[in-house]
Formats: sequence, C-alpha cells, structure tokens
Amino acid sequence: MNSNSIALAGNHESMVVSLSKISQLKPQKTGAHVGSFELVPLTQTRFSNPSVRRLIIESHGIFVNLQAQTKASVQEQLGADELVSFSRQYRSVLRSACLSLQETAQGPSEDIALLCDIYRGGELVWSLVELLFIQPQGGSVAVDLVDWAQLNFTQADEYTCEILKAAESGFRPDQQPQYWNAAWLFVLSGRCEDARRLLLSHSRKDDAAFRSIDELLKKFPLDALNRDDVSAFSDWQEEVGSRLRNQHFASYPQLETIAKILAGNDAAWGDLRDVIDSWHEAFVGLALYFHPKLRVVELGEVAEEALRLFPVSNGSLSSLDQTLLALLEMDVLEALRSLSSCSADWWLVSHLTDLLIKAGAQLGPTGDEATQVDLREFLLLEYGSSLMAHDSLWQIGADYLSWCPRNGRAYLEAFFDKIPVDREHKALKLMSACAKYQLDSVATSVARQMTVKLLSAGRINIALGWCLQAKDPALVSFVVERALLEYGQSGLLGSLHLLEHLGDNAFISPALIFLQKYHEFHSLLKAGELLKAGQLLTDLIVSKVAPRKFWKVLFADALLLLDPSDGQVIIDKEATYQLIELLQSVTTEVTALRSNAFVDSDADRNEFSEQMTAFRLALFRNLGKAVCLS
Amino acid sequence: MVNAPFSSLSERAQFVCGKVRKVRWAIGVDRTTAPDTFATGTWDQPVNDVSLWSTTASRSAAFDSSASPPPAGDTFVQLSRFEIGADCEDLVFATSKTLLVATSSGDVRVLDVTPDQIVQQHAWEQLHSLGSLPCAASCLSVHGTDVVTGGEDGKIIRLDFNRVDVKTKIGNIGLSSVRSLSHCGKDQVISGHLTGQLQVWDLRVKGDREGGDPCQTLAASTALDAVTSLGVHPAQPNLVAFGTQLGSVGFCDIRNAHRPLPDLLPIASGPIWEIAFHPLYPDNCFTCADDGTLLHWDAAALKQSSFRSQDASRMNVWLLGAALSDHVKLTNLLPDQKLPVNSVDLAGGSVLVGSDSELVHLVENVLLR
Repeated sequence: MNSNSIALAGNHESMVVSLSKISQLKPQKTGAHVGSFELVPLTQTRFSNPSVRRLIIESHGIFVNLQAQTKASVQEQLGADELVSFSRQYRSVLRSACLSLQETAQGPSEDIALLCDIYRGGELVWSLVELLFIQPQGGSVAVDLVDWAQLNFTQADEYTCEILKAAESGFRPDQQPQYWNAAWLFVLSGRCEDARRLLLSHSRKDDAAFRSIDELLKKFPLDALNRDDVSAFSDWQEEVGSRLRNQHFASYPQLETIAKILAGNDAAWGDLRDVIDSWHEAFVGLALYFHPKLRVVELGEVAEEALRLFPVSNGSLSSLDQTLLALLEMDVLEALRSLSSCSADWWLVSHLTDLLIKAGAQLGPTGDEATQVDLREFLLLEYGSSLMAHDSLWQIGADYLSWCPRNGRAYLEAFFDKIPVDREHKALKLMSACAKYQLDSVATSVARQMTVKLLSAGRINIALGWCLQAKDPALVSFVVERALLEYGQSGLLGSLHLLEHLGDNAFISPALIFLQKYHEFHSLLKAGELLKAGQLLTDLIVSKVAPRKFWKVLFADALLLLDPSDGQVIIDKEATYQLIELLQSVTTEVTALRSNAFVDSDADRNEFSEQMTAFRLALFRNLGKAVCLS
Repeated sequence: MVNAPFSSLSERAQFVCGKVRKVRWAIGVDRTTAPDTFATGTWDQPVNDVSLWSTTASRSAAFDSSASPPPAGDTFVQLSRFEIGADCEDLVFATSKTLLVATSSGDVRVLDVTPDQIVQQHAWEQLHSLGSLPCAASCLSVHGTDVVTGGEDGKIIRLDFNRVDVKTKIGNIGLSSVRSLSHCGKDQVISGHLTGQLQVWDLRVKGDREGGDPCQTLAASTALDAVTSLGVHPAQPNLVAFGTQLGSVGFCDIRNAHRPLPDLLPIASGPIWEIAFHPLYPDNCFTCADDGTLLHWDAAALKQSSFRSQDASRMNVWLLGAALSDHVKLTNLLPDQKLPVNSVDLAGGSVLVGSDSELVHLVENVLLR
C-alpha cells in the first residue's frame, strides 16, 4: 500500500507542513519523508519589502493627521479642500510605492509584479473615488474624467516615448507601428493637444487633411464644457461632422477615424476594434464625445455601454472592473467589497473607507450610520491586526487600533500581551506605549514578565527595580522577601541605593517598607550614628514585620551593637527589655515547639539556638551596663 | 512653550528600512562643519545592521555598474553595511575608521569602517548576561582607548580596545540595570540606572574583587523613573544632563551632590532616549523622546538676562533650575513626527536624527549661539 501522510505544526506566526509517504503499516509502520515547507502569511514577507514598508509608514502619518485634524475641526467635519488634499497625499504615496517597487525589484518576481498591478489598480480606483465623492461637485463630469484618464491611462504616453526614441535613431515617427494607436488613444482620452503634437510629426503634416484635423483639434472646446457652454461644444462637433461628410479626410482613413471619434460617430468603434484593449479606454471617449452633457448619475449607463462595445475577453469581469463599475453606479459599499477581493491586504480598503466616511459618502442605506461606523472600524481593526502580527510594525498597528472607538482597546490589550518582552529596551518601549494608550494592565504584565525573567536568573537586585514598575503589591512582597533572604547574610542590602529614594512608592508593600528601614539602618551604621541605628534596629525587631527567616540576620546585627569595642551602651534599657521579652517567645517557639520557622532546615536549628543563647547573654550584660550608667 | 522651527532650517529625510536606534556622525576633520558620512544602527528587525551613509556622494560615484543603483530621489547613499543580528543598543565612533557597537545579545563589537565595506576587527562576546542567558549591553562610552560598557545585568565593564583580553569590572552586585553611561573626564564615568540613580565612578580606584563602590550616588529621579539618557557638558565635565523614562530632563553638577533631587523639567510624554550638548556651542542642548519630539534647548539668552541674581550669575545657565524652565527657548525641530525619535547627533549646524519611523532626518542651518 502507498498512502500519503501530512503532519502540521504551527504558531501564530507560521505553520510547518510535512509530507511523508507510508509504504507499509504492518508489521511496522515504514515510509519516507518527502518534504516539508513553511507557510508564512503573505503579509509577513510583504511587509518586509522596503517599498511596502515605506508605504505603510508614510500612509500612517497621513492617517494620523487626518484623524487629528477631523477631531479638531468644527463639528468634526473637514471641508472638501482639506479632504482632497489628504486624498492626494494618499495617492502620492501609493504612486511612489509603485514606482519604488519597480525600480528596486531585483530580477523578475511574480509577487512584485502582482503587487505593482494591485497598486496601479488601487491608484485607478482611488483617483476615481476622489473625483466622484471627495472633490467638490460642480463643473463637467466629462472634463473630470479626462483628468482621470490622463493620470491613469499611460499607454499612449508609453507609445509616444518609444516613437521619440526611434526618431532619435533616425526612424520616421509615422512609420512606427504604434503611431496611430497613440494618436487614437490620446483623442479617446480627450487629450487633443497631445494628439495634435503627435500628428505634427507626421511627414505629411502639410496635406489638407492633416491641416484640417489640426485645426479641429486646436479648437477642441474642453473649457466650454467646464463652463457648461454646451452649445459651443455641439457647434464644434457639428463642424467636425460636416467636414467628415464632405470627405475632408477621405485620403487618410486613420484621420477619418479620429474625426469620427470627435464627432461622436458610432462608426468609430468598428475602426478601433483591434486597438482598444479594455472598456476603460473607450469609456472616457464615450462619455466625452458621445454624452458630453452627462451627469454623475448617468456614468453607470455609459460604463455599461462601453462594456457592451468592448466586452471582456473571458466573459467574467475582474474584481477591479467590478469595483470601477460599482463606483460609477455610485454603489460605494459594493465597490469596497469588490476592492477587498482584488487587494493585496487591508491597506487600500481601510484607508479609502475612512476617507470616504469623512467625506460623507453614503456607504449603506440612508440613515444607517451604524453600518458606516462598523465598517470603518472592522477594516481598521483588520489592518491594524495584520500590522500587529508583524515583528516590528507593532507601534503603527497599535496607533490604528487606537482609533477604533469600540473594540480597539480590547484588540490592543490582546495583541500587546503577545509581544515578547525579551530585552529591557523593548520593555521600556512597550511601557511607554502602554502609558500612551492607557493600558495599565498590560504595563503591569510587561513589568511582571521582566521581574520573573530576572528572578529565574537569580538577579534579585535588578528584579527589585522591575517589580516596582509592575505596581503589584504581591509581587513586590515576594521579590523583597527573596532579596532579604538572598542578600541578608552578605550585607549587600546596604548597597541597594534604590531604597534611599523610594518615597511614597515604598507603601505598596509592608515588606518593602521593612527593607527600606533595614537599608536605613545600614546607612546609619555606616555613617557612625550608632544610637539611632540601635533604636531603629530594635523597632524593626520588635515590630515583628520581618520575614521569620530573616530574624537571625537581625539578631546578628543586634549582637554586634550590644558588644561595641568602646563599651558604649547603644541599646537602652527599655529597648533591651523589649528585646529580652521577644527573645523569650522565640526561644519557646524554637525549643519547646520545635518550630523551623526561623531557620532553613532542621540542622540549622541548633545553630540558631546557640545564637539566641549568645544574644540573651549579651542582652543581660547590656542591661547591667545600662542600669549602672543610669 | 515650544516654538515651531525657523523657516531658515532645511530638513532632509530618507527612509532607511529599519527602525533606527542610533545615529552617529563620523569623526570629521573640521569641527565646525558636518562630516560627509554617518553611521546608523537598527533595532527590532529580524536581522539588524550597522550601516555607513554618505550625505554628499553622488549615485554614480558611489556605485559601480554591477551593483543595483539606489532608488531615485535618495538624499543619503548607503555606502556599506554590516549585519549584527541582535539589536543595536549603542554606537560610538572611537576613531575615524573604528566604530564600536553594543548589542542586545551582550556583545561589544569593534568594526573597521570604510566606504567600501565594514569588517569586524574583533568582538567581546556576552559581556553581559543574566545567569546563563545573554542580556543586552545597553550603553557604551569611549575615551581614547578606554571603553566602558553597562548592561541589563547591572554590570559596568571596562575594556581597552587595543587589548582584547583586558576586562575590569566596575561596581558591585548592588547595582540596578545600567541604562546610560558617559565618560565625564579621563578618569571618571557616570552611569544612569533603571531605578533613577546616577552613580559616579573613579576609574583610578582599584576595586576589590567585587568591583568597589561608586564614589558618589545621586538620586536623579524616583525609583520608578529610569535614567534613560545622559549627556556631559563639553567644557565642564562635572555638569551632566540626564533624561528620564517619564519624560523629564534634569541638569546637575556632580561636584555639588549633597542636594536632594535636582529640579526635573517635564518636557515629553515618553522616555527621553538621547540628550546631548552641542560640542561647540554648549549653551545649546538637544533632546529626543518617545513621543516624537526633538527639542532644541537654547539657553544662550539666559546668559545676558537681567533676571539672574548676583549668585546665580556665576553659575552655569543649565543649573538655574526653575529659571531655566521659564526662560529657555525650546524649539521642536520635527513638528510632524508621529513615531518615537531615538537618537540625535550634532556636528556644526547640522542635526542628525534617527527614529522608529525608519527615517534618518538631517536638519541643517540650526541657529546656534
């Protein structure tokens, strides 16, 4: 038998798939490993591309400015001019990303080519959106479409470049195969001046037909349309039509085609059948010359007409086409839906939706504002989440999530919890971000993780610094007790300078207050203030605040003070009485009850008992001295 | 009150792909103008690197035809690059051709830097560790051949970069994590710690096995407010500026350490990642912070002011405390910056800046008095 077996293993960053062929099940399972591969979400590798990274960072700056400016404006509404400015900034960074991808691509790459196509499509869509929904309305729609075409349809410009290059090598422009295609495409896009210039490079430019078309192109009344002077435009088209009928261009069929387009003559389309690649190229010409007075609501119909004239090759519309059509039919929601299917990631849809909503575009049924807000939030959350999943884009991702009023906070907390805290600088950066977004619980968690890491490495002095940042009383007590036990014997607690300036922070834990006081005791000792030190030590012992295992250290300290070299009495009579009393109860506990509370093990109990005996003796001697002196 | 920058300033910025942790001007011949090259070190990338950049090289000169040309419109040209893997924590030019980098895996690497390539001369590896795991060498300071590094493990280690085997430990186990370090004179080093202290070390004192005590400990801020950056006045090494985790800046004279907490000036809403006096115009100080602000502190006006009392007139302007905060001129040189600014370096009238927006900015014609 031969069967295939697949094993999977994964985490939130990637998945490993392993394929094996099993050749035998009995008596023993045998087979061979065929291969393994790792599946990494495309966004991980994509976001590592410098051009894409740059797009993400630059658009983040624009996004944040847009949100801030909106918030600061009257009734949180930005004017059309401001919105257009933001839209242009977005388009600009999209265009530079596209150019940058092309320039820096090292060798052919399917992914880069795909991304370029997506970005170009994105620009096409965005500029149309700007035209239809963001720009202040008024002026001729047809003229706007001409601008749109000029920005996005560059085929004619590419042809012209090739022609010019060939001309430099001595070839005649009009003999180039793309010459007429370029001319027709210019005319279709309403770029009559560019068409004119191209035609002037024809060797026969002085012929009557050429001069006639030149004159017509020069008089092309685009301004008239903008001024809504439709009669000027129809008069011009009449002129073209009459020259066409009078056979002015009979000797040059190509010029005749141009005239047919200009006159709004349907026969033009038959001539252009093999020239036009897609309905987009026909669409602008159709609108401009065939329906010059069209209004925004009629765009959908004109688009349908263009599609009928130039149907798509395999019958089904691409997502990009669907998006454009939906936009032209003013169905924004449908357009956004199609756009998501032809986008590489959530970048385009989320930024566009955010801008559209601010421009007041109607996304769903009128009155349904909840849908609009939800949609924006959904998209921004998706985009923000994809960034948060990437190693180094968490700061930008977090910013996007923070602009989602309903669920942003929950997402922020969930994602921040997943960010590994493996070095101190990262921890400080995270803490700063937590302060910015007011994520106190996450800040505590980060500080806790650092503390635990340090405790496991046995660096309790440093853990002490981090546990304070956690602001967690239980954790602080735990660390302090470890510190007391670890360092108590070695006397290093005296060098913990952080304890000198705790201020109110000490009140977070009684154990910390004790540690602070104990440190103070050592400082007093070092400074030679023995009386004060003795008083403090007595208070500390008698208050019974110290962890029991630490008492032996305190007793040892007291023993030193009870036996100074100069015979001075440091611990006074009352204090001595208190200590004796305390010692009595401790002795009872240890000897009679056999308690191990004060020692680490059974074996140490004897040593402790001896210490207590010595301590008791010293206390009585001290009492004697104190009584004598008083 | 923070002013907007002067219109005479010119700013160039370039996307360098990688969050920039440190920027450092190369050591120039003429101290009054900015050198042609600078170095950057990145952090938080899967693989981090140290790169050398040129501010003036033309694209054709810097690249031969076999290498891929830089994208159009680049203001800085990347000359050479060296992968360090772990985060760059600190970067110092020891000589015009030698760059020292401290990394988050506890290493200090000595790199030979030329426009053609960057090659590692040698490295001290895992100088800092927590138990068996390495931890970051957070900061670095160089004076002549003396190299001092401080780490997350609270250790301060003194090295000689001509002698790989020499390693002396400064300080004892009682230290908390070292966040910043600077030489303040030939024989003194000052360290800033996670728990808000500044400690001054005399390098001439031979420590015991455990490293010895600092000759001074100063409380710069509170125990919950780390000292994240330090800067030493170029003319008066006893005057130290420091920045803290909660966004405050303070100035203190380490010879008069008996005072309690010095006046803290809250100027940002996030950690101050770098603070530096201008090497030629020390009445100008620069700070960069996690909230994206890059501030130019101009205290020159304070020198001539009449509001200074008799006693105060002899004191350095930076130590005037409250008077400083009322009258120092603060200008934000990057008003549009959204993401944290991590590093600043000064040469002539040019300010070099690195940030988490993966940009290096060069602000020129800064007014210095």
